[in-house]
Amino acid sequence: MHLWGLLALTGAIWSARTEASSASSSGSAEQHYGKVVNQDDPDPLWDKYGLNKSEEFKYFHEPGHDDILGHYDSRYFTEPVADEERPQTMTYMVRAYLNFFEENGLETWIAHGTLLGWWWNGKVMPWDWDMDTQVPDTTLRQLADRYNQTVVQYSTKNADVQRTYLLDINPWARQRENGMGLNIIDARWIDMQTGLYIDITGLSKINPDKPNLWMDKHEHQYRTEDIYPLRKTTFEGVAAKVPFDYDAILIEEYGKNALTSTHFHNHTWIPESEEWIPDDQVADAIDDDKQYE
Amino acid sequence: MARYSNIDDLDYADDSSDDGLHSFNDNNNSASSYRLTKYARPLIDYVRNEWQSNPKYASLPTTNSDTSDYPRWVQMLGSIVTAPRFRRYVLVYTTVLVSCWLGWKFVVSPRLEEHAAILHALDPQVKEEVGGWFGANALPRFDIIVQLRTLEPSLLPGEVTSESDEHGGRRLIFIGDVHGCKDELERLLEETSFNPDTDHLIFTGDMINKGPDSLGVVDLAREYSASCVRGDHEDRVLSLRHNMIAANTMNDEFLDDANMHRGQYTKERQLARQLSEEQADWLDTCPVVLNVGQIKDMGQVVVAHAGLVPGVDLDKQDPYSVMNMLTVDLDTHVPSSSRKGIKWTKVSYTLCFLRVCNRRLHETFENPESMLTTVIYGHDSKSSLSLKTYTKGIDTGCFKGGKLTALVVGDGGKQKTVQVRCNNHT
Repeated sequence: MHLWGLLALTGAIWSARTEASSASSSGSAEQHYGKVVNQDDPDPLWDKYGLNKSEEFKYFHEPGHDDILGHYDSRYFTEPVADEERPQTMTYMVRAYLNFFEENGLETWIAHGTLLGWWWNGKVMPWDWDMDTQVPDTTLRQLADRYNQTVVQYSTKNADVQRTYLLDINPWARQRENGMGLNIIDARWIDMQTGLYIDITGLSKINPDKPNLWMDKHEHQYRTEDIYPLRKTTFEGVAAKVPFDYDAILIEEYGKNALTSTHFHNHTWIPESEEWIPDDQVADAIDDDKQYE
Repeated sequence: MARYSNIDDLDYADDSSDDGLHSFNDNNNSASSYRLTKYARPLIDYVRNEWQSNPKYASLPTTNSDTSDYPRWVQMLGSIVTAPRFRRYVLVYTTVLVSCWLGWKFVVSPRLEEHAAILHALDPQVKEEVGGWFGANALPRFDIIVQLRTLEPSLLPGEVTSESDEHGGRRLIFIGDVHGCKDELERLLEETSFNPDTDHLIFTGDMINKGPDSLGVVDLAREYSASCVRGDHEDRVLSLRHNMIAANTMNDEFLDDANMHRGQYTKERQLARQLSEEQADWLDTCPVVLNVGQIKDMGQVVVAHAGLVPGVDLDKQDPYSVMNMLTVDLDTHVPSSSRKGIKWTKVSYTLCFLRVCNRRLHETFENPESMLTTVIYGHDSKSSLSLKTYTKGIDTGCFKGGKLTALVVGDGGKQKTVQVRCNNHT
C-alpha cells in the first residue's frame, strides 16, 4: 500500500470568503448571539481568521438533499456512483482515511452509523451512504493548522486502482459553539473522483461546569468515560479506534433494537456468513421458501 | 327510663369481662344464658369498686337501654362487634389477611410475574416477534483483548472425593475482586490452607486498582501461575497503558495534565505507569471469559468478571458487557451496567433450569447435567455473596472494608466458601 500526503495552501475560495466577511461590520455579531460580548475581548475567529459570526455561511455543499444526492460534495460530484461500485468506493475511502490518521498520529475514531456497522461485522453497512468519524477538538485544531487541503493518494493492492482524497477543514470548525447551525460538520474526507465523503465532527468541552461532557455541533453528547480510553480494533481490515463504551454510545443513539434486530433497511443479517444481505437475495442465501418483504 | 333495668346486660358492657359469647347469650335471655348469668352473678357482687353505687358507671347501662330501642338483630350485631374477644379476632384475622395480601402483592405475585416474564423472554417464538436477540453480531475484535481461554484440564479436581486427606486432592480456589488488597489476599490463602502443589488459583477480575498494593497482588498471582479473567478495572488500566505507549507519554506525567480530557483517570494512569512490562503482559493474558471445564455437580464452569448474556456462546459474548453487566433487558436480551432491569443471574437460572428440565435433552444426552453451566463472577459487591445453583457471585467488597471471598472446589465437586475480613481502604 502506497500513501503520500501533500500539503496545499487554501485556494481562492478561502481568501474570497475572508474578504467577503471582513466587509461587514463586526459590531453586529452580538445581535445574533444570545450572550453579551465584551467589546474589549478580541474575537480570535474574527481577528485571526476573518470569520464574522453574524455572517456565518454554509461551507460544505451537496448537489441535493435526498438520499442519493445528499451524500456527495458538490465540487466533485458528476453523477451518482453505481450501486455495484459503491461498497468498494466506501471501503477504499475509509481505509485511506484510517491509514492517513494513523500514520500522522492523529486521534480519531469511528462514530454513528459507521460505528454500528463496525459493531455488527467490522464493515460499512451496505445501505450506508456516508460515513462518520469523530475527533477531539485538539485533533481538529491540528487538522486545521497543519493538514487542511491535504490531497492524499491511495493505491490498492492491485496497482491500477488509484484514488485521491481531499482533507477539507471547514473554516467554521474553529467556532466550537453551534452558531447558526450551518456548519455542524467540521471537516470532510472527500473522494475527489466521485464526491462521496466521510463526515468528520469534532468534540469539545464547551460547558465549563461539566468538564466531563463532550459535545459536537449537532447536539450529540458524550461523557469522557464513554469515549476514553479508546479501543484499538479493525474496521474494513485496517487499524481503527472505537470509543471505550461502544455499547452505551450505540444504544443511546440508536436504541437497543439496533443491536438485536436482524432486519434493517431491506437487508437481513445472516449470522452464518456474518453479512447483511439484501432481502431480494436472501432466498438464495438461505435455502428455504420464507417470504421477505 | 329505668337505669338498672337491664342489669344482666351489664357484664357484656363491662370491660372487666372478656367473654363475648357469654354476654351475647345474656341479651337473649334464653334459659341457658340465665344459668350462666346465675353463675356469674355472685362473682360480680364481690367487686368492690362501687360499680353499682358510683354514678360514674351509670352511663354505661344508659347506652344499653338506648340501643334496646333498635331492632333485636342490631343489638345482637352491636354486642358482637363491641365484644373484646371478637375485636381481638377481627384484629388478628385482619392482620393475617392484610399480610397475606401484602405477601402476595409484593413478594409472591411479582416473583411469579418475573418468572413468567423470564420464561416469555426465553421463548424462541418471541425472538421472531421482537426481531432478534442480543449476540447475533459478529463479535467485535480488539487488538489487546483475549476473548476466551480454556483451563488446562489437568488442573481440575478429581471426579470422586478423596477420602484419606482433606487436602490430598486437587482444588480450584476462585477468588473474588481483590482490588490490590494484598494483605487480605495472603490471609485468605492461609485460611484456605493453600497448597501451591495441589491448588490452582483463579481470580474473577478486578485484582488491581483502588486498593493499596495492586502490583503485589499481580506478583503473587504470577508467582503461583494463577488464572484470571479481565475485569473492568484491568480493562481500563491496560487500555490506558497501551494508548500511553502508543502516544509516547509513558514517561512524562506532565503530558497528562496538559491533555485535559484524560485528567479523569489520574489514578489509573499512575497505576498504568507503575506496572512493569511483565506485570502488564501477564494481565493482558487474562481472557474476558475463562472456560474452566466440567466439574461434577456444577456442569461446565465458566468464569466471567461481571456476567454472561444468557444463551450466547462463550466466544460470542460481548467483551464490554461481560466486564460490566448487571442486568439484561427481557425483550432484546441487551445487557446493561445499570441496576434497573432483571438481574442476568435470574435469567441464567431460568435458562439452565429449562435445559435440565427439557425432556428432549434427556433423550439426546446421556448426562443432561453436562449441559449445565455454572458461572462464577465478581463485580457486584453491592449484592455481596450470592451463591445460587448456577451462578456464584463472590465479590464481597473487600476494598470497602467488607470481606474477601474464596470459593473452594475440591474433588467430587465439593464446594465451600472461605472469607476473611478486610480493612477499609477507601
